[in-house]
Amino acid sequence: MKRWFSIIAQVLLLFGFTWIGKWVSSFFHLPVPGSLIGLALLFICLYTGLIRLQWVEAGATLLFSQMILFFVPSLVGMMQYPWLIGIKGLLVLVVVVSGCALVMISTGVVAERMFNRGEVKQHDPVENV
Amino acid sequence: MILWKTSSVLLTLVFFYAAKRFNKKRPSLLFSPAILAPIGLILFLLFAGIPYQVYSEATSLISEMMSVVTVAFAIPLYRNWSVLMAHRRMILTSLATGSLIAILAGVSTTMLVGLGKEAAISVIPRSITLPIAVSVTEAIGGMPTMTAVFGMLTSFAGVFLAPKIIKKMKLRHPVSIGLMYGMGAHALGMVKAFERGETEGSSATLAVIAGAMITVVWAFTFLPVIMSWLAV
Repeated sequence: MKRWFSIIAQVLLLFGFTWIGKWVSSFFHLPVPGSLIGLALLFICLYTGLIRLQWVEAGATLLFSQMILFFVPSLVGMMQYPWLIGIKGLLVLVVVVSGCALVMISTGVVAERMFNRGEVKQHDPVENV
Repeated sequence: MILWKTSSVLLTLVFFYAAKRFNKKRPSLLFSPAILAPIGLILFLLFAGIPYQVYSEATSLISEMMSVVTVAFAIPLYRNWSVLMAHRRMILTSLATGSLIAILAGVSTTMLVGLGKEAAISVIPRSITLPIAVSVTEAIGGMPTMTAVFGMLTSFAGVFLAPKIIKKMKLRHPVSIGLMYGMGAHALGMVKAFERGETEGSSATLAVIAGAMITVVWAFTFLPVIMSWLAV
């Protein structure tokens, strides 16, 4: 029970950062989305130690684990585009698959090349999500 | 109105968790809740005769959560900061190349097959994690739904293509495989990369976050060029 209470408090803290980011974005008429400003602010706070990792970590884990839920309503928006079923939908698939292949090949090959040139020292990952 | 809002949110939750349970019994990409839940909801709305606009306004609270998830990405970014810094040249170069190609290939092929200007703008951020992609698309004048559809399809395509590309291109290093997974297939790629190993997984996570940041920079740099290009 106490754990859930703290997780909810953490999510609310993340909400706060989102809200501040949005406010900054609209107040200064920035073209950058408010959520990205919120991300930058939270990162700075973590980096400077103003906010400790433990204060937001569990809340973030919860949000990430339920991430798909949050874009279900956007995906339902597909119903506005009935042409997705049919020849145009097939074209979309062509665009997506070809683009994705190009992106993966270029990213992978560039990274591998730089590795082989020995520009990177072996380094253990510190932590992961 | 409040009753309608609550019931729409509840309806979405029911469909989502039902799809999640179904996916546990039948673990397959095709039965992912990202596919099953929206299809179920679409059928329901069509059957009940509810227009999307009404549903979308009622569930705005759920969509709103995407910006909170975006902010939460600061946490894995902070945790992986030292790895990112240690490998910064390689990571930045490969991700900058990958995301630039994502934008150029996306916009040009979309225009080439004649899907229209709106789709071309919405396709710009589709190679990055969805919550950030949707915020970006709103900022540059695309359609969030289109971006969500493109992004989801990209994620599926990436997971499907990755093993073939690794073989063909003879990628051996775990970090480059992880970067490829994260840049090409964001969310699902991250999961698949972790199945391959810790190093692959954390570099995929890095690619998801850093790739998103770089794409944002590219998108705003190239937006004027792309806009004038589309206007012709």
